[in-house]
Amino acid sequence: MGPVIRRLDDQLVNRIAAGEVVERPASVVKELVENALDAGARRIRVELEEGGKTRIRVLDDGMGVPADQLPLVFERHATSKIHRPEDLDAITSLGFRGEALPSIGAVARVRFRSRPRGTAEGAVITWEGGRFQALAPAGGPEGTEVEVRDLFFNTPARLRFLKTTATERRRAVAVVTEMALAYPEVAFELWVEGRESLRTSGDGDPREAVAAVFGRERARRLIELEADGAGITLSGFLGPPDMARRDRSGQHLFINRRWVHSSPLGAAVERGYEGLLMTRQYPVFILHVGLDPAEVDVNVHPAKTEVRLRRERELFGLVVRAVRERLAGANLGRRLVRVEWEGEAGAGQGLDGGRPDRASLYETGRLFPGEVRDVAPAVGATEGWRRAAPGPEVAAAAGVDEVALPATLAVPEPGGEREAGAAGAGKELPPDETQAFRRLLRTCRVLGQLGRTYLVAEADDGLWLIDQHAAHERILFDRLRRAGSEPPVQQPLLVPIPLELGPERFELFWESREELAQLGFGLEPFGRHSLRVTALPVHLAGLADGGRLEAAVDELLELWQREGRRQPDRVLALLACKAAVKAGDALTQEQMDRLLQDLAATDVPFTCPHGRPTALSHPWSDLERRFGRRG
Amino acid sequence: MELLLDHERFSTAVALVERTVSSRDTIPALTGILLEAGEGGGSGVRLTASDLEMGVTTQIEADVRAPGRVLLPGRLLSSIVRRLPGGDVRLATDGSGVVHLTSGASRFQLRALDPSDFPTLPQVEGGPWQVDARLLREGLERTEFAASPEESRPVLSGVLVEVEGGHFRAVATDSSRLAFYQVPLVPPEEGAEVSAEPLHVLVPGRSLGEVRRLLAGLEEPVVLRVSEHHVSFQTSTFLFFSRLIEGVFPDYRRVFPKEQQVRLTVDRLALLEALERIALVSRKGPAVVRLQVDGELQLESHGAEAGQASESVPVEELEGAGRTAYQVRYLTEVLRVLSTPQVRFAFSEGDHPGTIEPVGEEGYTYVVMPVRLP
Repeated sequence: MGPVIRRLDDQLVNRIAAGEVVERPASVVKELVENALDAGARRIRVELEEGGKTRIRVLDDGMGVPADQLPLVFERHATSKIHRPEDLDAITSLGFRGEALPSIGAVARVRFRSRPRGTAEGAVITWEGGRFQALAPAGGPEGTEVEVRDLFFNTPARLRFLKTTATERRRAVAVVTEMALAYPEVAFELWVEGRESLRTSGDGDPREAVAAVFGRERARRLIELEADGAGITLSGFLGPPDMARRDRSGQHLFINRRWVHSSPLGAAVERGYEGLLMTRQYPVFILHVGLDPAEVDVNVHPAKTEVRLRRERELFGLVVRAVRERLAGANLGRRLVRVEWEGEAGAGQGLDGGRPDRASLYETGRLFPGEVRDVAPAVGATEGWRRAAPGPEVAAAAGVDEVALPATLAVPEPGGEREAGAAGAGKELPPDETQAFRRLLRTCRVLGQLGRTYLVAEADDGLWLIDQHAAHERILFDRLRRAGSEPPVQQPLLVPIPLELGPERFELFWESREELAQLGFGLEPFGRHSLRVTALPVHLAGLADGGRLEAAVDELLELWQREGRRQPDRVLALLACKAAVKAGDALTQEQMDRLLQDLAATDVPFTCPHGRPTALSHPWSDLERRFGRRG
Repeated sequence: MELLLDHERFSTAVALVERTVSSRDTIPALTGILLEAGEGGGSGVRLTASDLEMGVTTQIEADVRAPGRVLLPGRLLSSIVRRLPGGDVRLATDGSGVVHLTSGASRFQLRALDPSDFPTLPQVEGGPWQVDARLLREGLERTEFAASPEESRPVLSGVLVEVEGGHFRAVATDSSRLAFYQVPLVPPEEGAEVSAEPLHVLVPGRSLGEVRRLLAGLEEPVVLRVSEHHVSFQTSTFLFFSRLIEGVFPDYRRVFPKEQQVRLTVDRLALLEALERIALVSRKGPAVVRLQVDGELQLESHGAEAGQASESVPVEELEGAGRTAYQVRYLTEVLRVLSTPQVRFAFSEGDHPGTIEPVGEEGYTYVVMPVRLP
């Protein structure tokens, strides 16, 4: 007899579906917290035992479920959140499929107690392995309490696939953390193995929620971002470059308050940090993107951590620009002061056994209050090196600094966009730390060179150390970036430099000859697949010797082969790095003075294009404290 | 070891070698000055310092009572010897790694470094060639500035030193300008052994700076020797050696322009001062000067922020007319190292090198590429 095809009973269907929705304790936590939020909760408490494997308990003060509807809670596709097909196009609630509770109920022992607001009594329903157990009246506070025990007790295969308790715990904690960041108006409490792990005030201030998660000191250092325009609002916090991590664990992106795991918009934020971070460093940020729900398709992934966006390219550009502009106006100078490491779980631990890593030794520089915000955006383009000359209105808004806005990122109404950002919720404008830093560079006095690597300078506020290579790199990088609007002076070579490339590399290189010519390189073919460099941009004269040009070309070709030509700024950074003075080069007083003046004239004087700081400060107050002159 | 030294001689010798004492103490032995008194006794003591890139050794007379070898901290020894009032200096070891230095009423007990860590000096025996000290110094002085400044750039950070066809030559370039110095060799003294082979070596600019310093005031032949990786310069008072730069120096013979559209003679200091003045407005990036010759020499400089400046400089023996532009630094640097009252300046329009030569001195040519303005 052959196999018989039968319709699966609901119980089995739920167990299979549970595989999609309920993967691990963290997914249970997520579903339950989302339900609580959809129920209008102002307080949510989550408790985990053994990382949620043996017990998860979620309490909320939401609207609750009337006793007569409790049996429906565990029925598949029973939901209060959508009713008609059209509702799917504008989903404002977190859950909507009506799959969560039935799926959980199919693979665990669940106790669901609820008492609607304003009613005298509630009820409790228990459900085990997909089977109804009992329904009884129950007391307890208004709201809902869901307890999930022994997850996957009836599906040993899935149970085996769970990771260690520590891993599952970390994931579940991460879920609550994201929720707490997304909903600052909700007071979250997280208890892990009987210990309070997170508590947010729920007072609606995003900085409070962030402080609860990141620690108050680090939250203080975050750079607030507010921008809107073209039907999108951006709000949140950007970590200063020295807070960057080696992975993306510090990145929290929310689209319409839904935590999104991977999105081009996250990449857009990273792009906005371009030139501020070293390679394989990832910025820390908490970014809320607000969009018309009709533009977002969340029904892509069962866990809803991926979304599809309409107008993705446009949004990408907006995010890059907003982040870049905000960072350009922020004071990213760093201080030498050692900062006590805050015990943020797992983050930033040095490789050498729990010692604070390098980044933790720096604190962002002092804020310079009362300055007018500089609106000069960091210049850069996402495509092509050529960029449009700034339109009159942009140039006017940017003031004295000559800036070229990349055409691809130009927003139709730059003025309006800025105003909207500025007016954002009536908050104070960020002080113009860049201008203050520039003024400081212009007025400080170089005392000498330290180890042929750093300039030692005295400023009004104390001692400054400037990394000569990083500073020079930044200067050259900025000059290269300006090549589009401010054609470079070319220095032809007395002795042209031959470049043997081979056929394939020659083609790759030759394709970029126009861009290179625009930067000030003189190139001519020489033989079949070799080139002669006949002129260098006057700023990059340093490339002429020591195989630096060859090394730069090798790296350029490697970059182009690996990533195509999409990242013109990387090319500029690479050239700047190769041509800049190195640690170990002796500098004259005049050269050192010039270096600071030139650095002051750059768009982002705080860091080199790879994100290393150019300057560290040691304010008088710290010197006095450390020498015991003052308490 | 036990030595008796004349303070003045000792002090001069210490000062001679002190500059090549390494300032970084990654290899402690290199921060020392090595004193060696020969087994045979009598003949004197040898002082040596080296930072591996270069080194100096010098021999002075001494009363050697017991031969031996000690390595003393260089800077400290130098400071002590310089401040001693004079008279004799006695140096003696006591077998416990401590050196006793006594002079008059001063007594020092110095902890010595381990002399076995001191590197052996390179054997440099190829050649020899002879170049007069004054000409060697002048040649280096007038070319070294044109080399690439940064030490991390090998080939062009050195000066090409050549002895060939009865001439001594020094050539340096940073690839956009080139300084060429050539003088006939002074015939060697009777009986002096001199190689007939040509000498071509590329010597680091930093080493040559030391050679120039050591040669100051000397009027005698300098003996040059080479080995695969080193060059040495020997006089009656010192033996200096330096590592060579490996690599191919560009073929400088091809860069000298044969014809020039515009030629003129100008007062060296007047041109230098005018350039320095007008460069003041060009503070952003490398300063550039535009030159226009049309019956007179007109200099002009623009600063994006500061404004602009112009100045005309009187010229003589003017031929042709035209305009060009240079990095100011490329002109002022050469005008500073020359010493004649006048220089001859010539150029052609376009991407062709200009030339500057001292009037009244043979053998020096400075070749410089103009800049291409946007």
